[in-house]
Amino acid sequence: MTILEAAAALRAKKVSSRELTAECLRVIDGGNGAYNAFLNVTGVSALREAAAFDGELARGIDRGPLHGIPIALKDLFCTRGVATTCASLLYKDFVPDYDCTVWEKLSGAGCVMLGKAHQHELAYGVTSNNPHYGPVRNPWNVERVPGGSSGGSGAAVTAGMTFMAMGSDTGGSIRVPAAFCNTFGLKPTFGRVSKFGVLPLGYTLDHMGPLTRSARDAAVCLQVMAGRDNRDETTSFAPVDNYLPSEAISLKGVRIGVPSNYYFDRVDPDAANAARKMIALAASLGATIVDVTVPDIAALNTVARIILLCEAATVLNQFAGREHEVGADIRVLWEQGLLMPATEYINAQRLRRHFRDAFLRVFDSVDVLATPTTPTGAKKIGDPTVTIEGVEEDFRLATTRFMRGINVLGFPATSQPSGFDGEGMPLGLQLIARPFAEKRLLEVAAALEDATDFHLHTPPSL
Amino acid sequence: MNVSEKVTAPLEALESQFAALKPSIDRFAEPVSMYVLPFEGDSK
Repeated sequence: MTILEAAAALRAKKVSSRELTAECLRVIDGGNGAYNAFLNVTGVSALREAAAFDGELARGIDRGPLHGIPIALKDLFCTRGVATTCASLLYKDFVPDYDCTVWEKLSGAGCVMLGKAHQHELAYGVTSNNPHYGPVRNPWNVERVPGGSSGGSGAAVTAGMTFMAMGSDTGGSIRVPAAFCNTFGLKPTFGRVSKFGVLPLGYTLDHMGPLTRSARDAAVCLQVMAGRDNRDETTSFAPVDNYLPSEAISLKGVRIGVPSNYYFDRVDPDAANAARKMIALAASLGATIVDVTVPDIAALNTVARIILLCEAATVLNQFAGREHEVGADIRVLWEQGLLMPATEYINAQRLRRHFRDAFLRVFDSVDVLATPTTPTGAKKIGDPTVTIEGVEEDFRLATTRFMRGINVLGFPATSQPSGFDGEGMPLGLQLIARPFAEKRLLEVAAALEDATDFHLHTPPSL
Repeated sequence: MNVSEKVTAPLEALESQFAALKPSIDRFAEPVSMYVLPFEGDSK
C-alpha cells in the first residue's frame, strides 16, 4: 500500500492510523531480526500518536495526506527525547533535546514515527555493513547489501515495515539504497529541504529526502518538507511548487537527455539494458530523446571526493582522540581528510562553480537526464570490490560514480525501480533535473512508474 | 598519527587525478565565495 492509498483508506474509514501503525510494528517485529533495518523502534509512542491522529480525523481535523501515516527516520535526524546515534559509538549516548526541522514538519503534517532506521556508520559509506550494530540486510537477498548509507531506510520500505523512511544523500546515499531495494528515492535540490538538526557529514554536499513506494508518495513528502528554514541558512527562498503529479501525465514535449559519454561505460549489461528500456518507454509515451554529451563526470567525482574528505574530517574532528571507536573504513577516510591540503579543498570548491555552469548549459536542451542509478545491482555483504567488464573496482567508488557528482552540483535527482539483474536483484533508473525542477522530475518519474510494474514487485521472501 | 599506506595510497591517487584538473582551475580569474552554496544568488 502506498501513502496515498492509505490516506484514502483512512478518510473512507476503512482503516485507522492505529491499525496502520500496528501493522507496521507487526511487520517490523517479524522482520527486523532478519534485515536489521531499525536501530530503535518507538512502538509505544507510535501507537499513542496514531490514536491521537485518529481522534483528530474523527473530529474533522485533517492535516493532509500524511495525516496518520507511519514513517521512519534514518538515525541521524535529531528527535527530542529519542536516541539519535548515526549508527556510531561516537553518538551512542546522544539523546537530542530538540527536533530537526524535517521531523517538525512531518509530525506537524500528521506522520507517526515508528522509530529510527539503521544506516552505514556516520552515513560515510554505501554498504550499511555496520561494525557496531551489525549489517543491514537486503530483503531481496539477505546475503546482499541494501546499499547505503540509508540502507535501513531502503530495507524498511521494501519490506513493508513503513510507508516512507527519510534518508540523507551526500554522494548517493538515498539513491543507492533506493536502487538496490526497489524503492523510489528522491534527493531534492540543495537548499530545498532544511538540514537543521540533522547530523552532518559533508556540509555543502548533504541533502535530505524520502524513500517511498512511489513517485507520488515522494511528492507528498517533499511538499511538506520543502521551503526556507531560518535555522538553515543554505535553504532557499525559491517558491515551493505543487509537486504531486496528476493522475494522467503526458510526456509529450518533454526532452529526456541520454548521456552518450560516461554513464553507459563499464556498466553491467543488465543495468544498462534496464535503463535503456525505460528510456525507450519514455519515447513511446511521447518524450523526445536527446543524445547529449555531459561534462567530465570523472573529474566532477574527483572534486566531490576532495570536498567530502575535508568536510567529513572537519565534522569528525570534534571526536579527535576517539578514532579507535569508528570502523576501519571510516578511520581511513577520516585520516585522508586530515591530510588533504586546504588549497585542494578551495580549488575543488572553485571548480564546483565551473561544473555547475557547464551542467546548466546541458539543461538548455533537455528537461531531465536519464541514466542507470548504479552500474550493478547489490553485491554480497563484505565484498570490498566489484568486477565490471573484467575491471575490479572499489565497491564504494563504483557504486556511487553515477551519483556522487550530482551532489556537487546540488541538482535534484531520483532513483526508481527499473527492472532486475540476472541474479534477481533490483536495478534503478536515475533521473536528474535542473535546480528546483522537482515538479518536472517527479512528473517524468510518475509517468514511467504508471507504465511499468517494477515498483509493485516485493521481495520473494515476503 | 600513524599514517599507513592504506591511507596514503588512495589519497595520492586522488590528488594525482585532481592535479590533472589544475589547468582548468588556473583559467578562472573570477572571484568565488569560499563555500559555493550552489544557488545562493539564484533564489533569494
